[in-house]
Amino acid sequence: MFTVRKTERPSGSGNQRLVPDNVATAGSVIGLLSLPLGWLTLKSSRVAAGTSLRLWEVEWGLVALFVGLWSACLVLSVIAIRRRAVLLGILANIVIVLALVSASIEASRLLAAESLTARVAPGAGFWLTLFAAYVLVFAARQKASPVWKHLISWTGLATFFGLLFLGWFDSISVMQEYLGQEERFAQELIKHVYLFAGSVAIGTLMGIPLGVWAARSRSAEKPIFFIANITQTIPSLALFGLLIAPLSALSFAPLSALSFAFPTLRELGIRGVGAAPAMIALIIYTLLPVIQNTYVSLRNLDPAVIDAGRGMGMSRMQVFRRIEVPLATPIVLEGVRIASVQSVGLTAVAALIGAGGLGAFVFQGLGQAAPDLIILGAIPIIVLALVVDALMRVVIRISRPRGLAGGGA
Amino acid sequence: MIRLEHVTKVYGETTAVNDFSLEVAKGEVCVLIGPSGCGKTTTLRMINRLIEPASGKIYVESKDTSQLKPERLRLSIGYAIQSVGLFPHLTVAQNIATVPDLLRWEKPRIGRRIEELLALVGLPGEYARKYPKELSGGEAQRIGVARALAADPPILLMDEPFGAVDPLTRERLQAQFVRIQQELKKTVILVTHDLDEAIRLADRIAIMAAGKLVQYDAPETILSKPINKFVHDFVGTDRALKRLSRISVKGYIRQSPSVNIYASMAEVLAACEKCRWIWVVENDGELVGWIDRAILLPETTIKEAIVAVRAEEIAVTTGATLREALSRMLGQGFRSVPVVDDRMRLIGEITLRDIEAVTAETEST
Repeated sequence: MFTVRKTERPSGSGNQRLVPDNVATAGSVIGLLSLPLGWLTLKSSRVAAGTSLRLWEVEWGLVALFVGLWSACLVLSVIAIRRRAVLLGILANIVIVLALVSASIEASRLLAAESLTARVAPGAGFWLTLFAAYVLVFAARQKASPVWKHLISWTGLATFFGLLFLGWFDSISVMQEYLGQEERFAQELIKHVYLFAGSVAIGTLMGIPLGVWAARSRSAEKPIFFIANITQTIPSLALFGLLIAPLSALSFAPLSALSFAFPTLRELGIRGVGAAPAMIALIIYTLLPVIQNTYVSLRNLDPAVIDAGRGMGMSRMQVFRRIEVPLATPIVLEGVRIASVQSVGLTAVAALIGAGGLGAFVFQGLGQAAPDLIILGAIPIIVLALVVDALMRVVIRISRPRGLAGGGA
Repeated sequence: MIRLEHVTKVYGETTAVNDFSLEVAKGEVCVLIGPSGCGKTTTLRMINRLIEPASGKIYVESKDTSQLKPERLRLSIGYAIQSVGLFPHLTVAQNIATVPDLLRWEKPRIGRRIEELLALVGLPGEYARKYPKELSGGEAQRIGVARALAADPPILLMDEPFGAVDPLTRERLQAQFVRIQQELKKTVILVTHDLDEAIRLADRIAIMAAGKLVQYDAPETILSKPINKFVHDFVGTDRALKRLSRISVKGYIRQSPSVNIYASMAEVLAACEKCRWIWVVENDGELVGWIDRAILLPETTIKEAIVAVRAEEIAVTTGATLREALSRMLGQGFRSVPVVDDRMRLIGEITLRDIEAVTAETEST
């Protein structure tokens, strides 16, 4: 955890007191330390061990630029001047843009001189530089005004996606992996989204009634949570594996008549491996957070509110619709958010039993010892999780009734 | 209006309400009171069928409630509780509109009703748009009462409606309740554990113990003639004092000597020949001070002798109770307190001796 100094206040202009911003200082130092590390890695093929190229082996001008920028950040992080946070944020974003642009240009320059199978990947120095820049962004955005806060936070990401779509990164090894199987990437991405979104949707539809039931009935509460908790403790890999047997039994052994009679079942993947067991496992994992939040949202309602509603003549259904649902919705959706983010990650594991999805690249990469392929699968999974998380937060904020504490923002 | 006949409620081994009968006349305030766990809240909640009695009958407006749909019954009965239970996700206006909305009133009518009710409970109209979390405890209680009154039900059930606020706010809310009740004449059953509140608000008090009705009488009777030792102990050793708070000063006002502030010294001396103090009034009768005969010298002027006072600080109005009059006397160290009308004009006085006579009546029983 970073500690953020909240006590710091910008003093009058030109007043240069020494007030170190510890986080920003740490970020600047990491940035300087990252420079001697390998900047790009050149490999003769996708699986070959590469040679690491230092920043000065790539371009001396860049060394000067980065040392200058990081030194400026370091100085700023110790001296309190007006608008320090914004200045630090701008410098950090210049570092990010410069790192992205220079890496893409230098990669294609290096590649032009090599054979067709050669690959160029960003090295540790590049990644650490980006990390250090985001430490600065983190420090700066705490104290910046809302407009600057967003500019500081998102410029780097926007640049990244801009350059990505403009094809600037096409010489980077991960992109070469992508370009080699563009179509399959799109398919696996869509499959991934379907798998996690579908299982979360079904899990939510099942979990909400179970949560309501658990909240209403003392006798149902214990078994529901017992089962939901147990399933949550089973390692995902084991659960995926466990489901292969019963489902293959369903499609082959005595029940083969079923899949014989309904070939669509098999087409849907009702066989030992594939999407069906993956879906079932993912749904099971979705259940606990949804059930739990539904249960908590109903149990934590002020009993006086319910009593007042009943006492004034609302029917049970009216109390549910007019009082319980609006008050519980944000908390239930919070459970769906947790389940969704978790599910995006778990879906990656589902690739192991042939369900497909972005995890397929990861496991394929592991099998072929091709790190670029692993990254091709892993990074979109991370981005997907972040996007889903952000979207769900927006939905939750919209769903929160204005009268509730903290809902005014 | 409301009649309970041999109502009993049993929870497992314990009998919460035991063969309880009670009748509340139209327009009366009946206060159910008793120690915790005596079954008063259970009794209240059986009337609108939030709790079903094990046996016995409850009639509301001569209709057997067990024959009515609970929701229908409750829509015709106002309900206010200690924890208020305002819906936090709805505005004050939407909260008040709950029952009219359930009864499918038209929008303009509901809007007018909300304005009326906010005015009735003494809150400005812009409160309609506030949310419950923006209200103080006292404001929330008032909205709770407004919500209970929204569809103008003839009957109001209140469970410690002024329980969760500070003593000062509670007193203000009680005074407001008395005023509203004088205006609306609802049939009210109110549960409390605060005897002072019961004495202040009730037309009749029902004292309960262990699920049974012990005494059901007017507050004055309860205080002056407790039926048994339980009630005697329950109303406490200060029941004489409590009783004073039920008695208006109106019946005990004595003519009191007073002089005009512009009178001559001779007139003053003549007026207070028989007494030690004399009230001084303005031309229009407004009380402005008093004179102590002991310090009067023939050569002093009335302006020098007068002890000027602000009438609202030492006097009581005709709406006050004997208890307030006594409290003023003790506060000022006087043996009498002036009574004024609402324009601070002197009407007469209440003397300590008269109050003593009233309390003696209580003690003798």
